[in-house]
Amino acid sequence: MSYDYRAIDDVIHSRVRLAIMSYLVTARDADFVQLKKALKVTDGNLSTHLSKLEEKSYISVDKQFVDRKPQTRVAITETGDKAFKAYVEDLAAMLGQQN
Amino acid sequence: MNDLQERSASGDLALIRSMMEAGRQRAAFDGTHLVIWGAVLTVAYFTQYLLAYGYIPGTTLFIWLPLGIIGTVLSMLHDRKRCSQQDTDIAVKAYSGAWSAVGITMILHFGSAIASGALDPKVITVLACGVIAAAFHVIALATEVRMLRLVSAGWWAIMVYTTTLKDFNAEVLLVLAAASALLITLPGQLMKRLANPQGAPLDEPNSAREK
Repeated sequence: MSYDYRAIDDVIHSRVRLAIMSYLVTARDADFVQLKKALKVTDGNLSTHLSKLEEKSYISVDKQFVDRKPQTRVAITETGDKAFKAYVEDLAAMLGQQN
Repeated sequence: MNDLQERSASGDLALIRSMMEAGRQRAAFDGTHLVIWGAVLTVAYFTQYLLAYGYIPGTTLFIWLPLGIIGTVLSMLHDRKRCSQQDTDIAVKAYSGAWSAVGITMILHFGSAIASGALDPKVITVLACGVIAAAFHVIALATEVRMLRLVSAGWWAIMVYTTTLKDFNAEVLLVLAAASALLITLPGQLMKRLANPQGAPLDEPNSAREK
């Protein structure tokens, strides 16, 4: 019985979003600047991917001003945790199918 | 990072591992410094206790100076291995700042007390306990690790205890040696465990920071 590749979560499957979710799953939350440095992406690229994850409620984004400077904090949600776990399981299943 | 780059499942797993590790390091509040300095202080206080009762020869300076150098060197060696991403983290800045303040305060007080011949063991002990308690209080607030508030409370309690002592004798050094082990080294070990839980499988992520 072949593995159904369509079961893979398209939202997480993007390389940048996969990196974001992997980072947040251990860090739990991070500053926008920290994420940008860790992922080595541009502001716009990161914002786009964060929006997509936020649309699916995989992450929560909190914007506030600290000392008049905008600060964006990103945190993984419970939904995001479960989705990431499911994604990793699907990936493992696909690897198992290849073997 | 380009979405159009060639993908493979094994490549994705490698990416997951590396990013999870980066996230763990970011959240990790390195307790190694606490372990190092806790051990240094435990040895220093216990050695000074032995000195006070004549079990070993030497002077206070000969105990604290080399141990202080050892602790500083070990901390610097450890810092070289640390992830540079941590340098922008407010919690890490608070940690570094708090312990720098402790070190500066104690060195200045110790140095000026020796220079003026006014070294009072009780004063230096109360001061040390107070600044250490304050440092842990600041770090507890910055890192949101609740356990550190208990550690801070412990040091405040020892400060009160030493302040109220009428007979400030060498036994206090044993109390301080035990306190250094229990209220610096042990929390450091616990922080290291929080930062890097052993055997955490890839599909069961663990939080490195206590909420």
